[in-house]
Amino acid sequence: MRTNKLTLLLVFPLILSGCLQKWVADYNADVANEIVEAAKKVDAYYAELIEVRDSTATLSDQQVTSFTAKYKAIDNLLYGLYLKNQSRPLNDQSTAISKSILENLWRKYKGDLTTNKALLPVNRQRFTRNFEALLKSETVKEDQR
Amino acid sequence: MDLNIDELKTGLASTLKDSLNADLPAIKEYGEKIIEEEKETLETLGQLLLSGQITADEMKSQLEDEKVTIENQVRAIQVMSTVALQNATNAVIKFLQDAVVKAVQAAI
Repeated sequence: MRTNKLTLLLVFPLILSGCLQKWVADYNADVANEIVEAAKKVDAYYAELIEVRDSTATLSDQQVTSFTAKYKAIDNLLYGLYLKNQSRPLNDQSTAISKSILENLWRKYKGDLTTNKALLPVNRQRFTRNFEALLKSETVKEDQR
Repeated sequence: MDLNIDELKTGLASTLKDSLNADLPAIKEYGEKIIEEEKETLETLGQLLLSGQITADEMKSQLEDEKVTIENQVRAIQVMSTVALQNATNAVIKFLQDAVVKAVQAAI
């Protein structure tokens, strides 16, 4: 009888711990750092673009080439971030946000070289808000108990 | 093995409340920030349109981008809410686990 009770004592916790729920991916510090880096690069891109377009009516060929190279490098970074999120299980929402930032905003604006100057600060701020959403959806994973 | 149902119910309610209280304020705070930022953005866009600095087509495109942004922010809230629910569920499971272990120990 005592053996049965000891068995119960050992088995019950095991059964219940098997019931612990896991609905969200584990926190990934590397991904969180990449989100911050991507956000900083996009913000620096807009800071420079706003400054240059405020000081000149038309971008020179050299300036266009320089901004295009930066645009492509950031595009590559955002695509990598999307792929990393996509490869993680239980990570649908973060994947959707990173895909949306890449396809619905970054690639839509295409570097904003010809966009109305008045909209550049708005677009810059919009990226900040979207990266904050992506970062929140990552850092909250650290709070899983 | 003896489990006190009243104590169990009180403990479960308290565990659930503590867990949700730990996670919900951050969701509320972010939700309020989203609304405030959206309001500011719409005000800025409205001023740009009224002052003739942007066209109606540009405004339409900007509103589409705002929709995209809100969708992404709601996705972040979904992740935060899911973590909160997961935490609450697991806190309850752990509480039950402890209660059962204590009851079995007392019965041995």
